[in-house]
Order: sequence, then C-alpha cells, then structure tokens
Amino acid sequence: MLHTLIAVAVLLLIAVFVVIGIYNKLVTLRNRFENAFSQIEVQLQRRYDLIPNLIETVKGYMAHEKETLEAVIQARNQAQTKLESASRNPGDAGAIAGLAGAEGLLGGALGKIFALAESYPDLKANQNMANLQEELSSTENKVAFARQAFNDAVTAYNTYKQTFPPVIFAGTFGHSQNAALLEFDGDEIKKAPKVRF
Amino acid sequence: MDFFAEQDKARGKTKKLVLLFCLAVLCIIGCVYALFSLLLLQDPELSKSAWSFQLFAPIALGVILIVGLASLCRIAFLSGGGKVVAESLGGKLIQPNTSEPLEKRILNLVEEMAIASGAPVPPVYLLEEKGINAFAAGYSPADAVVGITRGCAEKLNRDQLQGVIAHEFSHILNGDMRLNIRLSGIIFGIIFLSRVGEIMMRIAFSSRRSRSRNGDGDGTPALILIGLVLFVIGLVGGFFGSLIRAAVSRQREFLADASAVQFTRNPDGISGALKRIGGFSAGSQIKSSLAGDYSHFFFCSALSSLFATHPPLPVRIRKIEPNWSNQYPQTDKISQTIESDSMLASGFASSSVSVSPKDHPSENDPNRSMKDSNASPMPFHESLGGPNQRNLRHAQSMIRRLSPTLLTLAKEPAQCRCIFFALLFDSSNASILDQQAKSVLDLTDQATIDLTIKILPEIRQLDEELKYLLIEECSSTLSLFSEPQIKSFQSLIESLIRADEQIDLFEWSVQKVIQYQISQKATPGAKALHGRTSLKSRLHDCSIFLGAIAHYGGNPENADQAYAKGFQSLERSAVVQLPSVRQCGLAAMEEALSELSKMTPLAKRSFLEACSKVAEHDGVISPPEIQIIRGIAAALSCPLGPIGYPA
Repeated sequence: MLHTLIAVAVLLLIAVFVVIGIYNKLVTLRNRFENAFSQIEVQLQRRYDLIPNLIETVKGYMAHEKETLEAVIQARNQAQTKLESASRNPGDAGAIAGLAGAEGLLGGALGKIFALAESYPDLKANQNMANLQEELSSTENKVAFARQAFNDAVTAYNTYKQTFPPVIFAGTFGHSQNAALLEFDGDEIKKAPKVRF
Repeated sequence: MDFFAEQDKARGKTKKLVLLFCLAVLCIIGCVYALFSLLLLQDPELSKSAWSFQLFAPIALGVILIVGLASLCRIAFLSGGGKVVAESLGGKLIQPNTSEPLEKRILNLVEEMAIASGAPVPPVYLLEEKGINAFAAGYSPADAVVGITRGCAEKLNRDQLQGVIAHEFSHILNGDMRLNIRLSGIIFGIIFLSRVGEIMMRIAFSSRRSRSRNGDGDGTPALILIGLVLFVIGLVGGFFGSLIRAAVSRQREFLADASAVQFTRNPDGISGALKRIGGFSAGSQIKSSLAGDYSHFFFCSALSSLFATHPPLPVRIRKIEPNWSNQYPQTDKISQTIESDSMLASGFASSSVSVSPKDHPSENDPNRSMKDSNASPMPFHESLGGPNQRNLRHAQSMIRRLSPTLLTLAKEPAQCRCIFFALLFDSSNASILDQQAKSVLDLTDQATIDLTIKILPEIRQLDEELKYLLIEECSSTLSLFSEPQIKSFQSLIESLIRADEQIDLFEWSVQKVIQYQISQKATPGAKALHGRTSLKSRLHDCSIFLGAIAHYGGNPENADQAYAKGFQSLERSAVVQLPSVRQCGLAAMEEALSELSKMTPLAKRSFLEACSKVAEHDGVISPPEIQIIRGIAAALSCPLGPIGYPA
C-alpha cells in the first residue's frame, strides 16, 4: 500500500515538474520572438520616417508624377498601420501577413519612384537624394537581418510547440496558434529597393 | 567594495546556505518520520512498522526527492540567465538603437557604468509599471540584464537614475544574483512540499467520495493525514526560509546602497531616488503576478509585507544621509519637469530621422567641467575590483573619443558585425585580406563587406584601449542575435582569425573577449566562474603570463626587472625564474589559462595585480600589454575597468 502510494506520488511529481517546465519554456520562447519583433519595428519605423523626406525631395522634380507619389504615401501609411497592429501582437499570423502584404506594396511603389527617377538628371545630382538612397538601402539591410533573427525565434517557438510532450499542453496554456514567419514576397523588397539611377 | 573579495565571500555564504539547507531537509525528514510513527502506533496492526527503517527509508527518499527535484528545477529555470527572469516579468527589451530619449538616457547610463566596471554592457529591459523600481538578474556579469520600470525612467533625474543603476551593478558585481537564485530555489523546494501535501489531500477527498458511494472505504484517512503533515511542514519550512532570505537580502541591499555611493561618489543621487519613491503614490510597487517570486531582485520592495526583502525606506535614506529632514518630495507632480530635463540632457532636441548617436554626459551635467582634468593615464590596478567615480569619468571621456558613426554602428545588430570584421582584417597582406573578405561575403552580403571596407581605416587608427571599448559597446547588441546568427558569426570570426594560419596576440585576445561575452549569454552557468585552486600551486602558470608581458610589453632588456617586480608582488618566498621568450608562446599561454581559470577569485585578483605591476614597470602601457591583460581578464571571467591609455 505504502509503496504503491509512494510510486504514484513520485510519478505524479515528475509529471508536475515536466508540465511546469513546458509552461515556462513556452512563455519564454514567445517573449523572445516578441522582443525580436521590436527590432524589426525599429528598423521599419525608420524606413517609414524616411519616406516623407524622400517625397519632399522628389516632389520638386517630378511634378507630373503626382499619382505615383501619392501611391507611395498611401502605401507607406498603410504599412505604418499594419506595423502598429502587428507590433501589438506579433504572434498573430493575420497581422504578420498584413504587414508583409503592405510592405510588398510599399516596396513596389518605391521601386517605381526609383525607376522614374532615372530619367531626371537633376534629381540624380541632388545630394539630399543620394543621402536618402544610402539611408534607405542600409535600412533595408538592417531589416533583413532583424527579420532573420525574428524568423529564427519564431521557428524555435513553433518547433518546440509541435514536439512531444509540449504539443499536448500548448493549446491549454494558450499557445494554440503557430506564430507566422515574416516573409516579404516580391523580390523588389528582398533586395534593397533599386536605388541606382 | 571589491569585486574579488565579495565574490569570495559570496562563495563562503553559498557553502553555509547549502549546509543550512541540508539541515532543514534533515529536520523535515525527522518531523515526517516522527509523525508517521506516532500515527502508526495508534493502529495495533501497523504498530510494528513504526520507528523502523522500513518506514524511515521511503520517507527520507520521498522528502529528498520532492524537495531536491523542486529546488533543482527552480534553480535551473532561474539560471537560464537574466533574460529569462526579465522576460517572465514581462519586460520589453530596449533596443540598443532606440531613438526614444528616455530609453536612450537609460542605455547611456548603463553603458557608462558597465564600461567603468569592466563588465560587458548588459541588455536593458523596460517594465511597463508605474512604480519606481529596478532589478538586476543573471548568473554572472556576462549574462546579466538590468530591468527598469517606466516609472523609474520618468520620475528620476539623471543623477538619481545613475544611483539606481549603480546599485544594480553592485548586485551584478557582488554575485548577489547567484546567491539569490540558490536561495529562491531552496525555498521553492521546501514550499513545494506543501503543494504536494495539498494535492494529496485533494486526491484523497475525491477518491473517498467516490468510494463511499461504492461502500468500501479504507486507506484514505491515511492519505489525508500524510497530505496534511506535508502541507503544514512545507508551510512552516517555507515561512522560516523566507525569513532567512529576507534577512540575507536586506543586508545585501545596504551593501548595494553603500556601493552605489562609492561608485558614483554622489550620495544625493541614490538618496534622492529613494526619497522620490517615498513621496510617490505608486511607490515601488510591481503589479506583475510574479513580483513576489522575484521580490529580492528589485531595487526597492515590490510588495509590502512582513517578509520585506528590503530595509524600510527611511532607514536606507538615513544610512546615506544621516540628517535627513524626513520630508519626501511630491513625486506625483514631478514627471513633467523631469521629462523636459531629460530631453535637454540627452541632446535630442529635434533630430527627426538620423539618430544622433551619443549624448553621454549631458550638457548640464555638473561633472562635465571636470572631464578634462583627468587626462593623465590612470594606474591600471585602479580599474580592478569595481568602478569608482574616477573610472566612471574615464569611461565617459573614452566613449566621447569614439566617433559617432562607430558608436551608431555598434548599436545596430546587422552592422556591429562589421566592426569585428574590420578589427580582424589583416591590412598588411593583400592576399590574406582578399581571402578574409571572401569568407565574410560567403556568410553575409555585399553591403556588409562594403561597410567593413569603409570603416577599416578609421578602426585601424584607434588606440588599443578604444578597440576593446568598441567591442564592449557591441556586447549588448550581440544579445539581439538569434542562435543561428550567433553561430554563423562565431564561425566567421574564427575563420578570419585563422586566415593567415597563425594567431597573433591581438587576435588571441579578441577571441577571448568575444568568447567570454557570447558563451556566457548562450549558456549561462554552464561553466563554474571560479574554482578553488590557490595561487601557490599555480605559480608556474602565472610566471608564463608575467614573462609574456615582460618580454612583449616593454624594452626586452628590462624584462628581467619588470618580471621580478611583478613576481614579488605575487609571492615572496618561492621564486620561478623568468621563462624564455619561447616558453611564453601562445600555446603555452593557452595551456596555462585553463589552469588559472580554476583559481579562487582572490587569487585571480593577486594575479591580475601582478600582471599590472609588470605592465606598469616602465611607466608606459603598450598595446601588447593591454592585449594580454584584456585576454586574461576575459578568460578568467573578471571584469576589468578602463586601463590607462597613452596620454
């Protein structure tokens, strides 16, 4: 009687520890990728802050391209909103996908401006423009690096969540959804927006 | 306060704690055994097994298992590094490249303090709490993190914040965090007994209900009783454990307050911070549900209770400021003025896009006027054992000597890698440089290599000491890397070092410094920081380093003299002859290091002091000397403040 009781108690105990361990690890991993997201946020925000300056610089030269410029502003504003909602909950796959989509649009719009800028020699000579391009392309690099770190952290979280035994408890502890990787589709964003003209 | 002496004492304390813990477990086993025996005596059938080994063995085993397992689990969790604690408290990492003035100010203060004390710059977490509080967590200086509440950032001025951060650094340097982790683990183990008891009682009650329906009931009263006994013992044990913890913790707080004054030489800073907490309606409260578990990590009591882990505020203020008038400022109203003050202080008037890189000592910093008065080189041994005001100024003035571009780069995760690459690029040999550039390109991208080439000339011109400062500046940024990123970075560094198929002194020491910073962050507590070996048994290994510094560092003709001077400070009775240049090669140094890292903290201190004596012998600290000493300090996990730089 006593022996079986002790055996049961020990088994129970070990089970309790395992569950506590799983819970802690899930929380830690989630916090980690959320913290990794804020690095992306810093970089993207910097990019969004640069865009009005870019428009301001380009405006004087490209008077006829009003629509293109407006498209960029609109894309930028939308990306900004998507970033805000993604940063509130980086674990939400929908928000991340929304951000990726908006980023794709913005990248496309920016690419258009830079392609157009090719045909304005005065603009090419503008020092301000050159600086902005430099800034934008280096920000692009930083975003790529931060995105890699974020995706690594998300992968670590998802993988852990799907292994056994965590897979049994993940749902109960509020980790039912997989976190989404942040992938920017459309090659114009993977490389720096074309800044050569 | 002295880092090495405190580390030594902390080890002594840990031993005592382990002893106390064993005693406590023995007492618990005894209590459970006695109660069981008394219970069994009541029953004529089972009375035979009372007071017997058959009863004692399973009870002893069970208790040890429960308490031991629980403690180990807890300790393992807390030893996961400061990151884990900060993250479970809901802290949000302040990005090293943040542009928010309040956050920037905190980062700068932490950076200065870290450089002055020689510890790697820790990542800083911001807790969204109204109360004024802060904490330090981690296993060793290299994996420590600092946490600051929003209230703390907004309600305190620069000096006060500096006092708070100095207080936290004292915890980091004194090894209080490790002591805390062990204490919490032990207490958790004992309290866990009561949880087990509770679970047992629940099971018993529920099975009794189902069984009474079936008509047979036996054995359950015993289970209930066992559960009750465990529950009570766990609670009582936990009670006394918490009392002990609180008492230990309160002593450490006084020490940290005193250290903060010593670090900053500015009692007004820390006492001002304490007063503002006193005069604040939100006080130092932490709302997180885990605050209780971590109460002893904090700057000021997170909860108010009988088990206060911190001495009362007025007592702490009086210790710093004996004739305090008992009046608290009205902190609730302060916020706005401080806010503008901080904007001014951090020089962030209106730069909207480009992040202006540094604000270090602010324009209205009273210390500023004195900044140039200490241009003379600082005696190296002064930077051993913890920061002081002079170190702090020195650190500030050194940071100011780095160019803003480099400092900005050091704070960008993607770009701080370029600094390391540029440091390791071999500019004297074009073919090797080519090869190095190629291996960088293999693992990164074109932009990284372009940037590296761009900053190469600037990096090459830096003083030796500034190079190490730059590496330190990067350390908090490195913690943003994901595991695969760190791994590929590490292998890249290795291949750069080995590109010319030989390792020179600088490469050796940079490798040591990077290893120290990265490995501690990746697997904190995996390796013991210090060992038990005495200095006497390792004199030969010490002599290799003293010899190396004497040979490479100054005029070879004076090597004998320099060596003798250093060795004398190490040991007077025995003499080990100066090893020849050949005997002091890198391979020999490497071998000696692995032995030396097992020495006690105080032995390491004497050894580093002897090294400094050899280096200072000719009145000039040359680059090789700095390289060797930096490498040693990193490999021995000793924080080393700024060394004197060429005037």
